[in-house]
Amino acid sequence: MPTAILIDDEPLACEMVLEYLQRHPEIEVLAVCHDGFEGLKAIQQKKPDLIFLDIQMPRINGFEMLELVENPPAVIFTTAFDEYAIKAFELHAMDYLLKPYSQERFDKAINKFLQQPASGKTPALLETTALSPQQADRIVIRDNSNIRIININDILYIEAADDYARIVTASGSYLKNRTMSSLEKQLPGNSFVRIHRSCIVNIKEITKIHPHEKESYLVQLRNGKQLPVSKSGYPKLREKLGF
Amino acid sequence: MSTIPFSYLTLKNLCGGIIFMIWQLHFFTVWGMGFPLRTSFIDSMVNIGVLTFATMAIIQIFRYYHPPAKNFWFIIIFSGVCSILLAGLAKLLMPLFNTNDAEYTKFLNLSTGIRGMVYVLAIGFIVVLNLLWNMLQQELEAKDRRTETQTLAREAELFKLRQQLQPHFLFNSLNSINAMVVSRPQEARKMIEQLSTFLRATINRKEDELVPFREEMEQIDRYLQIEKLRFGHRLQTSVSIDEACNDAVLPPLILQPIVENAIKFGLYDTVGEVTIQIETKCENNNLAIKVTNPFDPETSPENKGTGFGLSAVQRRLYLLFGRQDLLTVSTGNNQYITSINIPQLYANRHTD
Repeated sequence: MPTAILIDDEPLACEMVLEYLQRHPEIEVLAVCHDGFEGLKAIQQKKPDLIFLDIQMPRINGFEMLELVENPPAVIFTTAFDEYAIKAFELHAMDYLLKPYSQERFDKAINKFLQQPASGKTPALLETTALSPQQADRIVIRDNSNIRIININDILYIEAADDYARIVTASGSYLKNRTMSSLEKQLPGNSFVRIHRSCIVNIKEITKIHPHEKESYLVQLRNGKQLPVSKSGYPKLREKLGF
Repeated sequence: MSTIPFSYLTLKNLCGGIIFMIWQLHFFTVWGMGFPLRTSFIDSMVNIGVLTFATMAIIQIFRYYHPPAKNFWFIIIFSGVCSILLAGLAKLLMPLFNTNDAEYTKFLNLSTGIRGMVYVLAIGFIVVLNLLWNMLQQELEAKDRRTETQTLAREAELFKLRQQLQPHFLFNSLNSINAMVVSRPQEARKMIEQLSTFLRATINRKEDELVPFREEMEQIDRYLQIEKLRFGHRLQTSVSIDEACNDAVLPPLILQPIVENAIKFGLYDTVGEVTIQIETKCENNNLAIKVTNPFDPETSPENKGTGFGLSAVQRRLYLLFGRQDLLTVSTGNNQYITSINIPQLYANRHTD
């Protein structure tokens, strides 16, 4: 029997889903959550097959929450209005319901899920939505059992670590399951430069650039850390710093 | 972009053509009267030289000086006087270049009046041509500017409408109503009524008229009621109104974005119950409104500053009152405080 979790900060919106779900007794509702933290915890503990997810929610939004879930289940987004998100959904989501929606539309989404429970599209969806304007200025990270919201201005540099990216700030370093190129796209180009295949640096932190072996350079950061600059990274760095 | 029937270059060529025609007329008339070729040529060239110089000066002057319509006659008369002076100048210059035989001098003295009249006609024509051309040019530029201003105003108006209708708020409210229709039809009906009243009042507002404080607070109250239904017990509000504010006025919908912002940051930055406080105070001809919401200093980056909604409020207050200091934000004790001051001295003059 497929299981589901509802995540929406508006109680009435949850009521709505519960009411529409009465026509689908085959789906068991495991939990109703009102913010992303609660939702994340419930997903980890109860491992549902499907989540109904609102986008605009307290503290962390629906996309940010989803980023923190390992092996995310199928997702049906429920949202009122978000031009950008709609574009992303059309490309990658299992389905999305625009509030207010009818029972018929809801049934259609459920049937789609029942026919093809594993969409496998979520990772692609996240790569797209990470660029949505409302989350451009921060990155959400899971640090053991805590959730951290990092202001991108606090990032010193980011380096590749196997399939993860290690985000380094003055207060510590955190692993994030995003690719370097998707992070590079999210970070503002006027303050971050990808100086190497495996490294993105915050320009404000650079204190020195000196030659290293032939045709390669090292940048030194304010905290003393040295990072390699690749052959293709150097002209980018020159352009950004204007020398 | 509108255009004039002929270009600036054509205008100059036209003036040149007139001068050339007058030169020909002059030359052949003098020559035809039996004066030697050389004398006729120099005579006509000196006159036309002076005329050309005058025409160039006119073109240059009207390029930068656009006289108002009421000075039109003055300018034509002025050009007439100038033409006569130029005719005199040409007559004075003539002996320097040309022969001084008695017959020619006599002819020169006799023809001075006719020469002056030709000058008046030519210069008058050139002046009027230039004036009209420049007026047309100005008129078309003004028209383009007006069109541009209108386009900008229309865009701003559309933007304002979109902002007022707040699609996110509207769709979420409709969703809440949808959720209540079957289980709690009475509440659903009440919310429809509140939402309609709120939207009606929003749409009917005029941007440039100051509205009574009471009216604006009723509107804010409607908004808060709808938001409370949406968010259930999570959203609490506390509104305190100073009795002294009864006669106060303020720009319509200036408070709305501030309250919206407070709810947005209050509800989306924290979890658990949220209280939005609105306090008003009137003293020294000043209406002070303070909106307080809880926030989490760790997750709200300082650089969010006043946010987009608030910068629009600041801009409006500046346009209305010419002051940048009427909107202030402060934080402390995990509370985010937005304060606005509406000067009442200026406002009262408009309601009298």
